[in-house]
Amino acid sequence: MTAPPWLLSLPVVFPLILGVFTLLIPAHTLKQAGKTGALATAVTTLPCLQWVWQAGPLHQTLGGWGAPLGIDLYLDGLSCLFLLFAALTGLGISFYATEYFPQSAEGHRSRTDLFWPLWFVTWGGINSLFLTLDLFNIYVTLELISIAGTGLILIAGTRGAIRAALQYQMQALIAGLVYLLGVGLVYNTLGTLDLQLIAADLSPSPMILTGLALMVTGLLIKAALFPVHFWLPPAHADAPAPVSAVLSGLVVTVAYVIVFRLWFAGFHTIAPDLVPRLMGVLGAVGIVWGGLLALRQERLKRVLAYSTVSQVGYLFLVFSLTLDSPAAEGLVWAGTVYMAVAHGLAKSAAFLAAGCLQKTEGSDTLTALRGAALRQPAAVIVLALASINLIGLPPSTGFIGKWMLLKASFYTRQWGIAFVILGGGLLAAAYLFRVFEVLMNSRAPDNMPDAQRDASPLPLSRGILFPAMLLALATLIPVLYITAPEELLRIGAPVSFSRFITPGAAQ
Amino acid sequence: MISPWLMPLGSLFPLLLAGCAAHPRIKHHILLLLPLAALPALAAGILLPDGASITLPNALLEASWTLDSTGRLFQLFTASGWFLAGLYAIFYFKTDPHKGRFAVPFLIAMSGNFLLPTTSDAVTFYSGFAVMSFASWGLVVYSGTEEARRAGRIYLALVVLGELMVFPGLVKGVLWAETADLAAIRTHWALDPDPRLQISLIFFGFAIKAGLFPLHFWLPLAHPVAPTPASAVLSGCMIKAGLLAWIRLVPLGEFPMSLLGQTVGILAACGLLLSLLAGMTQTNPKALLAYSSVSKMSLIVLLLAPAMLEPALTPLALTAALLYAGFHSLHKTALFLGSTLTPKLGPWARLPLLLLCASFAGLPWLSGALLKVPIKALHDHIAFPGAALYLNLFKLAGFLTLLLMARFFMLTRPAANPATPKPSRGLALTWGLATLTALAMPALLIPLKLLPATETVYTPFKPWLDPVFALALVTLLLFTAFRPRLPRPIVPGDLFHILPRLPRGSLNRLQTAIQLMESHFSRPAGGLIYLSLILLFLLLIRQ
Repeated sequence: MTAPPWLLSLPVVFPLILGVFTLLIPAHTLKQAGKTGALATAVTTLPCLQWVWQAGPLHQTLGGWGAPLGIDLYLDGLSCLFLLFAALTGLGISFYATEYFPQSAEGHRSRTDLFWPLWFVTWGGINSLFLTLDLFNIYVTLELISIAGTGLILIAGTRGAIRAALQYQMQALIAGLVYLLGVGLVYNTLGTLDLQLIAADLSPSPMILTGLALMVTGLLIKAALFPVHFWLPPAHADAPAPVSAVLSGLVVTVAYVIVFRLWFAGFHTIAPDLVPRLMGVLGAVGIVWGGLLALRQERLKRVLAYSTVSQVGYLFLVFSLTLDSPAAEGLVWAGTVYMAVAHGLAKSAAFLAAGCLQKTEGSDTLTALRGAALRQPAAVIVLALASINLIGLPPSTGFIGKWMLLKASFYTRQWGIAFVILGGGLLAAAYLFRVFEVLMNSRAPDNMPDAQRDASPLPLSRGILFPAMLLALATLIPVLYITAPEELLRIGAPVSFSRFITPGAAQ
Repeated sequence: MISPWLMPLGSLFPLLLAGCAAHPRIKHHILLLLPLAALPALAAGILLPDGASITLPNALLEASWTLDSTGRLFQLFTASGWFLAGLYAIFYFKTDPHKGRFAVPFLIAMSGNFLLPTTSDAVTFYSGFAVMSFASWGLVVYSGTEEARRAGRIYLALVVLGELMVFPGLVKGVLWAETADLAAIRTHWALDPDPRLQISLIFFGFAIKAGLFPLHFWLPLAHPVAPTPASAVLSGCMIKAGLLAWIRLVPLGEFPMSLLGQTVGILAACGLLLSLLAGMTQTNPKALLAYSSVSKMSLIVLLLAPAMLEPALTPLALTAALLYAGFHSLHKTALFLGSTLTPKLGPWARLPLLLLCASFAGLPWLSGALLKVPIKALHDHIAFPGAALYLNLFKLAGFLTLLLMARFFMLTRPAANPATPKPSRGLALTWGLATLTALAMPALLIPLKLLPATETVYTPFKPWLDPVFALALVTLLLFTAFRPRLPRPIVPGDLFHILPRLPRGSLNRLQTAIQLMESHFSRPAGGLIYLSLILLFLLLIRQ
């Protein structure tokens, strides 16, 4: 059985085409096009799933140019899982956005219409990053996503959003350049950009190590690890709700997945131990730092944005946890992937729900949201389902991830990390229940002068929360059917997967 | 042959119904679903044979269920408690516009609670426990008053603390046993060279739910503010989850745990006496009942403590504790449901209430007296030093409980004001049903073979020769004759009010400092951070 040549390029190219297409069509048809396009893009990942499930990992070259010159696409269980995750999240965000942004009149184009082209380009970039093995292609796509992301933040049009977008663009440029410098050094030494070829003849030479350090640093900025996270909260909090969901749920995850892949593709064998230790420590500090700051925010979307800073920290514990005991690697990897997916889905759902509350209450400040549970019960339930994952309460995917990480930290006797995992849950419970207490308060909100609101409260159509609810419920899928993602993760060798063992076996 | 699927379904059914509340028409009649939701679980407890088991390899980390006699007993009284409270809620919230806000957390908490008795794996157990605990926060804060929210905050803080203690203990247990099976974890503790820390974490983590002194103070805070049906299930059903967790996870009967047993015994003895005395001073009958729950749970812990010292005592101790739990569950549900109702019902409700109180206090010829049998059997076998003190503690507790129930009976006397509206008939009938269930407990349990040999139950018993009863009666008579003034009521939540507080603003100052640093990050300092991070990485890699 040979794979059709379009199998891997379709999820990448199709949304990019849609991006151009939605720029050209008349504005009043955008919503229909957005819905159909999102559905079609999500469907393009299904053949990938079928292939991986039946035939295992797949290597394809784009346009017939193979490595070392051309761009290679590579599909395995890990990338397939994340492709599906992106498809689900993207679908939810798209359907939400059709209700969230006002419909343009025929013949007119408004700023919000730009959402669709920018979003489809971002989606294509995200899919490409999950599939690519080419270091330079990663750079180009990251830049593409950053530029599209800046545009997406600017859709909000407020002063805060403009400042946030500028800051976002600045950090993206710096991060991109640092990463590119690292790629240059590696290319200079090994003469190839293909990750598999690089992994094959890695040596701990100073050039390669320096290149690795630069690449990882650049990606850490993109993934918003403490202490280079500070661009994130304004950008994620001031963007329109669907954009916040894209940035916090998907873009951060993508940057992280690249670090994960780079590291375990072989670099972990040559890097000195202190590097992963440092990443683990930064992750641990980030968990506490983000949590403490989230506890202090007065706006719901800022609470969620700082929660992202905190949650990203968990994902970086993997580098420290896999260090001492290879036997626990499978457990840690699976736990980290579950954490990433749970956070992505839950944070998207939470931002979508927050957007609803912001629109119907006129503001997302906690004072304005007092008693919102009575007026918007569905949005609050979505938020609650998402919170279960963020805190890591059972039964949720976030809990399964945390369970595995905690088990691994006990197994490898890294008590500090165990302590941080537990303390991070405590902080998350504190900052989220602080929000819920406000939402459940039966006292009516004080009459706010309209000047303090971002906009006058708007009634929303009933259907707007369905996609958000869908995403929140999707976090329960691994709880109800855990064997499927586990099987999927074991297919192929994205990270030295020959040593991947079942989480159950890594006692 | 009934399918063992009834076990997982029984616990998922309430959750399913909670999901149905999204439909506007169902939402309007959601209250009718509350008693209905408990029926599958009740059926599972009655119909399934011992040893019925099912495993769902795909759900959670291999969720599995097995029915044993302990589980059956818990399943029965938990499900009937929820059923009665649900039935009561139909009439209690009839005119409430926000009934959905009560019904949804009620159903979710019910679902979590129903997972516990029958599940046989640690992850599912922990999940059910967390779902139950967090959902019942919604029940505590339901009224939305400042008081309720404060009680909710304290409750939540303790729940989170409990979860944080249990989580690492459980993970350690699973790691050690190489399986999440509860029975395996229990037996594998013995192979652990030093399991003391893990077992203590688990024991005290679950002790918060069980209201063990000094972690009990959320109970008297939460019960008076929660709606009556919520108090009933909190005290009648959910509080027992702590006991079930101990039975499932703490290696009773595997090896002696002297330090834990002694500590727990002393704490429980303090809790028993102090809560009875504190309860006596209450003026709110629900706060009094909350203190009584603390005392009863302490008593149950006191029954378990000998088994920690001497593993051979475990079967006797467990039988006594289990029966006591079932007894307390049914009685407390009925007492809570009656606590706000009977003052409005008029004089005819006094007789059932008197019987209920008397049975609760263990007076002869009522279902409560039945408990003397297993307790006595346990007492006959205790031989460790200090046994006399231990036995006398029970006598003292019996004496104080009698006085406490007398106080409760006085507090719930009909209001003098005749203008209070008559409560609906449904409320009265539900309460009657609950009282009947509590009083008829032996009749319900014996056919299910949950009671020890029936002949021992009806051994002749001469109450008038019992010094405890005699003393209590004399005290009561003296009280009614002289009416001495009771001391000022202890504020519900006792210990919480004297807890040392963090110096005001210390956390605040830390956060302000962090915020300040954070704001500097985005200024030019941000560039420096980039640079230093890159340098740091280069440095690390170069060495």
